[in-house]
Amino acid sequence: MINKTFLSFLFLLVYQHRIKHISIFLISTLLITILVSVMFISTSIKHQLLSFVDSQSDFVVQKVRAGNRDDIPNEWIDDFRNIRGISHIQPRVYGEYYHLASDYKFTIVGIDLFDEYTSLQIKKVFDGIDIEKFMSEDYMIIGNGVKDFFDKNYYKEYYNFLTPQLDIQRVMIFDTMPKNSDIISNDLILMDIDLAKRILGIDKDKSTDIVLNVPNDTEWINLKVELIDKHHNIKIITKEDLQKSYTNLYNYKSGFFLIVFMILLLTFCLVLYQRYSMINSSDKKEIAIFRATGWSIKAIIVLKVFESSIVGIFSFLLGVIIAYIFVFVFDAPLLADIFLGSHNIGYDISFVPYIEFSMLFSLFMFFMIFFIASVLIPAWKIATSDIDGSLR
Amino acid sequence: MIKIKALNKIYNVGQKNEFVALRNINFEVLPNTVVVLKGVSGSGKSTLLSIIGGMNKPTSGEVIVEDKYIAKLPDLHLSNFRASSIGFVFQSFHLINDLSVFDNISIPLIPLGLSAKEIEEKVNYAMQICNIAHKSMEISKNLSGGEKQRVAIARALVNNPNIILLDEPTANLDSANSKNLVEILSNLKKLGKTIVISTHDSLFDELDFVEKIIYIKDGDISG
Repeated sequence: MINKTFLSFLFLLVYQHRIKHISIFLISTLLITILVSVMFISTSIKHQLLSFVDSQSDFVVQKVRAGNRDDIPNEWIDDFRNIRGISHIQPRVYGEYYHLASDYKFTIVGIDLFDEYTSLQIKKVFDGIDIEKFMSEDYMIIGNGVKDFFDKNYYKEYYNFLTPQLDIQRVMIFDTMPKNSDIISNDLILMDIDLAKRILGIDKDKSTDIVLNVPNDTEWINLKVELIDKHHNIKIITKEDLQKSYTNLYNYKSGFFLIVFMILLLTFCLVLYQRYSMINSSDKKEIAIFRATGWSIKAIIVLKVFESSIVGIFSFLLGVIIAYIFVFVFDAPLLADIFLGSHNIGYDISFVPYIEFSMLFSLFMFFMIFFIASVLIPAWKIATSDIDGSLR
Repeated sequence: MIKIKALNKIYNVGQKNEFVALRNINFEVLPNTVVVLKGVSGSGKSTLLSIIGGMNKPTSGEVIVEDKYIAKLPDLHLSNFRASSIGFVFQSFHLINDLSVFDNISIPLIPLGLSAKEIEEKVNYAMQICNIAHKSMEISKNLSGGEKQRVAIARALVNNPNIILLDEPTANLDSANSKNLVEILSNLKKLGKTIVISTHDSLFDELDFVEKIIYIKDGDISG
């Protein structure tokens, strides 16, 4: 039954019924655009964050005193270094620099650039970076948000930090972070660990945390125990913990949108059902004509399913294309703020295109089932009713 | 060809507004004959025609068309029956207004799985018989009453059915178009078709190719 002539006739009918379909097409396209935009934003952020987490050390150890984080003495590194299974360990400085006049906070990360592993990681992120030059003077690599702030304040080549001792510490701008890492690095300033300690007022023989790598992840639980054995007053954050917290955060947000969407979809289905069940006399007549001229109920249902599928598929595809442009070309104005929240430095996020096709496919199936069912039920009712009555 | 035995059609059975449309109808239509069902409006002739065409079910009785007990056929078989054996021309034509003449006539052929070329051949042939080929690409809503009638007949013919049923075929036509219709019907008879016409128009009383006139009054055969 379904051959070229059937399909030609189908497209002819869709074209002839275009006025009838247009409102449903537009509403469903809008709904799909909203939902897919949320999905794209959520997956893009998650992907970037999880990629970031993936590139991080397996463990971050912090010293805790009275429930608050305290600086860690460097001797602790030697205490931990002897634990079997640790492949790499180094101190790290991590802290906020508050800019009083603007009420902005920068996140300063100080790393040991003499460490071979760290140096390699930096080279991975900043392709072609001259590490030797970076280490030769007081240099920093800044996030794009920080760069914008510096530019606005005419700090094109350097910035003068004020140390806790009220000394001026001039740091030259070496480079900016890649644009596609903005979600993580927007307010970030990366510099040598000793320079970071001077600016944040941390003792030379201390650091804010210790990062370590343990390649065998089956040993992670044992390793946690051993770390606590060495120093009980510590907080251990694993890569897994970070992944979970990021995933939960954005799953929660996209879950919220999903509920909103479900309500919208349900409303839409009711509208759709009403639209098609209040089939006007010409629709009724059309189905009755098909029946009278020898079409079986099955053939009519197939025609109607295909007709609504074409409308549904095209509105879905258009919705996805608009969502893609909205999120990945225009960086999702308004929606991005809902997801990312307000930020202390002006945000100019670029979402990196990342699509979870399995989720998109699930959404497509979910949407199409509702869509087709909403059309099919009233069409089936008419097709099975008395032809004579429908034609009168 | 068509046998009707003890046919009754009652609407709203058992309800307050129960209505007997047809009562104990018995008749037979032989192959390649033209039979006219005659009666005033509301006499039940259109109901009888739609039952013969398999578009309405009788309450009781038998309808045998080409040896098929059509009242008992399931939907798929009934659809096949309508597609292969019956061509129905409705009083108000029932064309799909937004489709062209060609597309309207091709409707019965679409579910049959024919190729585009086969469809084109059959539609062109039906259009020639009904003298509407010159309006092939015209949108149906732009046609005159007489042209619509010819499209409806072409659609009924396109499957090459043995039986053509026409419900009040002259009700929406002027006298010139009625004459054209008579000519087409005469040609159809020459092609070997069995034709059943439901009408109240006296035009059919004196046609030489009409074999039988069955008078229906208040759901009964009266003469």
